[in-house]
Amino acid sequence: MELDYKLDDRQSVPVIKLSGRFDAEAAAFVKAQIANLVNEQHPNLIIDMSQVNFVDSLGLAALVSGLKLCRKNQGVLKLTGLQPNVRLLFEITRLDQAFELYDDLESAFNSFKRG
Amino acid sequence: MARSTAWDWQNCLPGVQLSLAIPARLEFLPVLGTVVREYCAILPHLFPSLEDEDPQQRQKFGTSPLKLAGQQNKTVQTSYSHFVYSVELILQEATSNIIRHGYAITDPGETLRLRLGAMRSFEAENPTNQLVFLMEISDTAAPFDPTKAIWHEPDPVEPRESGYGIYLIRKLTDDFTYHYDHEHGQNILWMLKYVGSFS
Repeated sequence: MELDYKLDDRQSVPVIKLSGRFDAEAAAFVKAQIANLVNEQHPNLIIDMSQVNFVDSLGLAALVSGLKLCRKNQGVLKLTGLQPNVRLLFEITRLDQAFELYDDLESAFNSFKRG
Repeated sequence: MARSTAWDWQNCLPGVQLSLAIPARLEFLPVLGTVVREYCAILPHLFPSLEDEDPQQRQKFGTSPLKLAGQQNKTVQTSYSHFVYSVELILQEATSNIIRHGYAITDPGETLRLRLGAMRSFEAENPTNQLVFLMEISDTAAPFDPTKAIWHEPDPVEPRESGYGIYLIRKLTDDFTYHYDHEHGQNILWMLKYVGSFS
């Protein structure tokens, strides 16, 4: 798996920081990590995508699955820092309208503060 | 665009065709990705007339019509970087489908064969000034035609948790054709994407 996963849970909202290639091989792993966090009473999550240089259809599917799980638990999954090529992929699949996308972590944190 | 007999490997520009065989395992797809990116990095140097005079602005070379979801009539110009990402994604989706569904990840001994190349596009059998990128994938899994697979337009209100692969291939390619080679028992996928114009 060429995806690096780090969790920062010291913040008000846990941040998953992904780096590298978010593809078929990594999708099931990320999906399981999101489910673990939601089960630990963290329905609000941020995924920092700024170091992700490739996402495929199964990577997208894992994010959608996470978004739905958070919503089901009265939370929301927000994404930050999409690289331009990944952003284009979100536009083609119209997921740019399904997710709340932020340029950086600070904006994503502020959006939670505003409720 | 219907597949024409004019675009075949025989018409591929000489000295640019690349063939490779990779194990039919998901772990090897990043290797394919690296090969595709490196190949695309060489391509502009093979066709210098495609490049813009300003190396910082390869817009001329990098323009490729891209149909956006829900905006079928709107053509957007993308950068060469988007073209390379699109090509890598097309090959990732097609090979990942074959590995996960065709071979069902049960036989690690299977192999995927790929050919990449570039050629001038044809209109009514006449070559144009457009360069197209060709991709061919062959496998020996059970016959399956992905061009006939069911796919859905994305719904931003209730997004689906699966089924983006075929949709992305359809959106990102300018032609997507399937053929079953009965003689050799092979599925053969042809995919084509416009790269840009010769000056």
